[in-house]
Amino acid sequence: MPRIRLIVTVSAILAGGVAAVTVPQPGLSTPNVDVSASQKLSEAQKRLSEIMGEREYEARAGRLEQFIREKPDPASLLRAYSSLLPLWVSSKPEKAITLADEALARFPDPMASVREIAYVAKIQALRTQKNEAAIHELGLNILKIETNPHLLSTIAQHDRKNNLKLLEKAMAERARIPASAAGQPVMMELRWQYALGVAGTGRMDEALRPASQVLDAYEKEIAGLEARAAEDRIQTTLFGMHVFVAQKYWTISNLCGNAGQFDKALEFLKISESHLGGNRAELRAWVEQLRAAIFAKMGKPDLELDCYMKAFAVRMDSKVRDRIVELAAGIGKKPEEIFLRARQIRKESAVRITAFTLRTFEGSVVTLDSIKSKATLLNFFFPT
Amino acid sequence: MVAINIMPAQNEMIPKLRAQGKYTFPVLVVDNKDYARRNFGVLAAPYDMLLDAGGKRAFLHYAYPGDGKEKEKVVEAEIRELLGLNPFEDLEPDRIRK
Repeated sequence: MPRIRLIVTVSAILAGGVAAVTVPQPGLSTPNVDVSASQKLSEAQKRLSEIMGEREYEARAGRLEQFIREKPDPASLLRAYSSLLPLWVSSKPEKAITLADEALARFPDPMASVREIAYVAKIQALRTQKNEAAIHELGLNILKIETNPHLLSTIAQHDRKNNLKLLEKAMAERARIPASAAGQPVMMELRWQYALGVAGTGRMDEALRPASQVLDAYEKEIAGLEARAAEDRIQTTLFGMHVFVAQKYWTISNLCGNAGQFDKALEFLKISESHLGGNRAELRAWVEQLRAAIFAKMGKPDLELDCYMKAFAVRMDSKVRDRIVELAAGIGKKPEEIFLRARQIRKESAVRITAFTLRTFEGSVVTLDSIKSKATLLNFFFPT
Repeated sequence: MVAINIMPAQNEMIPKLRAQGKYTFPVLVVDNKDYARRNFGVLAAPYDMLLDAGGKRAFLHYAYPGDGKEKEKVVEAEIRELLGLNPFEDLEPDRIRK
């Protein structure tokens, strides 16, 4: 029995006497589309995928350039520019700049993602050429003409001189579009970036105002999630949020430490630690190392050494090991005793994991007891 | 080494992954996507635990910032420690153990 093909034709009368529109009905027919255009698109995408698989860098760059000259469909062109531009920023900066300008001219829509890629490539190429004046000038031009908050905030990270102005404009433009807009940075993150930018200029007290606003907002978000912690889906989000916020407190602590505001630095670090909780053991080493660095700046080698010892107890980093040896020698302590104490802490804090009986994909039964050896690495993963 | 796939919906991909990586270690499967979280506190992957001879968690690797090679060195040092070897042998033989 032949497939039913239903085609609705809107007559030339409705279309102003010029066009006839064919509307395929879902599920009943194959779309009546321009086969040659569709084929060309498919061929372009296939060819681009082949080029991307080219391992040899020069050959890949050459083929990408040729592909761009063939004027493929906009989506393939965007992918080609995005792939080629980063290849050239350090090896052929002059070509990267020309290509970036070409991409900017071809994609004038302020929200086109290729504009951001082109600007970043251009800045990086100019940096390769050590042309800071041109970067500054480009930053000012972007500030003048661009309105995409995502683009502005990205460029802010690459152009330190215009950093704060770009972020101010990014925040102003972000406020104009819906909070839920796809692919755009959230306002709190822009504020956070701004706070870090201000801190970078040495105005720590001024930076702490927007930083604290952001941290308070995240704390409120966490409190809201804690109230729904019984839900499975919320558990995962909550876990991620705690680590995310811990990183923010760590960062602001580091900046305070660098600015000589040691009490604040230690206070923020304590909050960071509280967000990590007991289940993120290795990250505690990261906190202890920053605490050690703060005590170093305060001229307290005993406390610094104690922090490094605690860091070593959860994470055997050779750099931490070296610092312990150096510090212990400096204050007349035996490094062996420090390492012994770290190993005691490690032993005391090791907890037995939940016993399990699971099967391999092939069906064999595996239990905790059956895999135990001197050392067993248990890796949790998923294939994709 | 033992791996646990925390996403039951992706179990079918395991044989191909093992063949591609030429992995010989056992890959365990779970029947519930919440199993790893409920039993081991695993909320994201990759997440690595190093167990000692008593089945106790001696080291937990998750979300540590920084360079991948540095992280590898730390995990290697941790394994060497559990095996009773000098964790930093390649850097400075016997310095710590002595």
